Amino acid sequence: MSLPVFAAFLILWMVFQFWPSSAFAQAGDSPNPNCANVVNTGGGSCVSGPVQLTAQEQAILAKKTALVQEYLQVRAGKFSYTTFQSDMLAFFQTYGGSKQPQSRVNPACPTISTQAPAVTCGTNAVYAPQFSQINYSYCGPATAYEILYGLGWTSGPNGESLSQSVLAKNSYLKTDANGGTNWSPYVMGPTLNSWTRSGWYIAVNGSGVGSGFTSATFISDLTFDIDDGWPLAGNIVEYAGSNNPHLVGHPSSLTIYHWIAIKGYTSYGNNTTYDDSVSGDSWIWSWAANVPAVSTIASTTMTTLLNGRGFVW
Amino acid sequence: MKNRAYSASAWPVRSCAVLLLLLLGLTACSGSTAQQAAATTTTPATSTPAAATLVPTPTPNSGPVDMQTAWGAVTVQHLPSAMGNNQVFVFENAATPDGQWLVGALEPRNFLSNTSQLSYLVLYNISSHQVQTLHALLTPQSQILSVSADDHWIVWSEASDQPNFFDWTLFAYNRQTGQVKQLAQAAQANGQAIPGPYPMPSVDQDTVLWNQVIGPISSTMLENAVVKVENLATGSVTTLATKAGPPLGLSWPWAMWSQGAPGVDAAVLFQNLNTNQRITFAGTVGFIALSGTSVAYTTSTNKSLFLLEDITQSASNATLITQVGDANYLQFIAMNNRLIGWTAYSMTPQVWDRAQHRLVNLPITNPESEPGTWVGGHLLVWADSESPAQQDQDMKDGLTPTPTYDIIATDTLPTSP
Repeated sequence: MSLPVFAAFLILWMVFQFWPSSAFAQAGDSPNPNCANVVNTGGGSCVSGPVQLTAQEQAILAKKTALVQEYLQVRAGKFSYTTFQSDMLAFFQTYGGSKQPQSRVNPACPTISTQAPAVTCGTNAVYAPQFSQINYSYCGPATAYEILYGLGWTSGPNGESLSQSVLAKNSYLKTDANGGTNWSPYVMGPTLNSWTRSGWYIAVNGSGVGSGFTSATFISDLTFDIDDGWPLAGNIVEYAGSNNPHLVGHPSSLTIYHWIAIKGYTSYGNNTTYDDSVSGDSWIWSWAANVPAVSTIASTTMTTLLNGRGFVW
Repeated sequence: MKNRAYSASAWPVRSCAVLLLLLLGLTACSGSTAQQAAATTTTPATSTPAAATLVPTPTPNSGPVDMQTAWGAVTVQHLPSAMGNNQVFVFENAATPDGQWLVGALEPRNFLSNTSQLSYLVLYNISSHQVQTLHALLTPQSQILSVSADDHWIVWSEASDQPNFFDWTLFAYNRQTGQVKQLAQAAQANGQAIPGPYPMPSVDQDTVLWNQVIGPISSTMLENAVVKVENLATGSVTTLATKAGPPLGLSWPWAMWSQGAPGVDAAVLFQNLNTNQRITFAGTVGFIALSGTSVAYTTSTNKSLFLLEDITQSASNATLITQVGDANYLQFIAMNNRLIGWTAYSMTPQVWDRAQHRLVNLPITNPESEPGTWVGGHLLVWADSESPAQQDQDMKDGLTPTPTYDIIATDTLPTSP
């Protein structure tokens, strides 16, 4: 066994053995106490439990998490870029994942180098243009639409044309049936995987529904996905009050459940760039006129918002 | 998305609400420049505004400095929001012109789970801490959406169908008689309120300006979005503009609103209600606030804040107040004749002192994620939060936080350090 391969094996083994459970989706229900008497109109039901992952999904999450650790080492110049690419390719061959798997193992990084560290992106983004949600409960379908459109998947597994209305149906996000796109039961990840014919997307439960995740975990997952060309889907909760963070232009007096497409980062992942489907809907909500289509906020703030529900990466 | 609007520490925002939110245009997403944003022209409103060059104004003493350095031993009033009987005062970003009373809602702290206890529109005296109840909201789930006050009237919109608030009612309280009268109500179709932005009234000199939809609208069909004006003394109502909506502002005799389709031909208009002179504030802006004949506004990216002292004069006189960088935004602008306030991410609460021409940092005890300042009438108000531990506990208990409101009478501020 060559040294790089052995090192990769060792790292994978260590990650599986010691990776903190907080990085994984957890069982156990902890509905938010603020949810009573709350009306939800798109970002999911107010009372929500965690996403319950199947055994296979948990295995995928574990492998992705291990790959993230490899990638962190690659970015730090402490791990073979070639070995990482080989491991990524193996992942795609096992779980599917792309029209062009090869392109997904070559992180799109402006400063990619043959010298260590091979990957040192400070700023990166993937193509995922913002679209306004077509009615007041379609933030979930709009988010999935932005991601799938950006990835180039405009035809569904059954030949449907990509649209927010199609994504809102029972076959996918169940938005029409539920009056919003729920975090759990799990619909976002399976929908994205179905349309991308992959097993790439997997949910991480936030502290509002499960054990949560740290900013460091979110940043490493964010940079990993973005550098490999995948936008993320975030299900946020913004609690009313000036002490509670809100997305750009969202009134702090509102408690809002919302889905967003996360498509980039700046400052080495310390800031997160996202699409907001509320933008352009000022004919529904007066405050929407002040919501930019694309914004960048601190990843620590984004972590707080995402911990209300979670993210799909 | 979800639920409760304008609640508890709702505080900085309502602001927004009031003066600053844009309805029909003023797209916050297109990338206009400051030069584009501030061009103005006088009558007629349909003429093409001339572009103007803005000159940033970093004056030598632009700061920021702390409050003590700028204003010395200025008196700061501290107004607790925690009330008896497990209630909380929620500041609605409005105050009486005499600077004596804040306008807000008295709500049960368990507002989200409460199904039986009504909330009230109240005045909260800054000096005596007396609470004067003006009106019981219509249902336990009703919330105040937007409030404005002049010497004689308190005007507000309220609704219970959170978070969209399509089924709103607009009221006015006469401070002399204590009477409440209904000014308008959401139009209905097929027994349901027609979806659309709720009214954000602005009252001054017994005249109230508000926006409403009078029929179905869509992003491409905005003819049913109108701005109305009523003389509260006589009750006469006129439609001032169609295809129009927030941001609204009334600083007698100047009225401000947005007109046109978002991203197409939207612009902020000003009209002198005495002479009918109209001025078009061309280009796209983010947030905007009107005080007298001055406007403070952000560019469409909400990264830069400008002040144009006189909307009837050349836009080239607009001055750059402050800018923020990556991952920060200037939002929810508010202004009076002395200060400009706003909300930003991860910064100390700040204001711009129009007399001293510099930024002033305001003290807070506990950190906030989005500190904000509200300025209006003769008052500066900012919130000092509960401790982080108390905030966490309140969150777990489903209780509205109880910040302390810090208040300064802006007409007592020294014009030089």
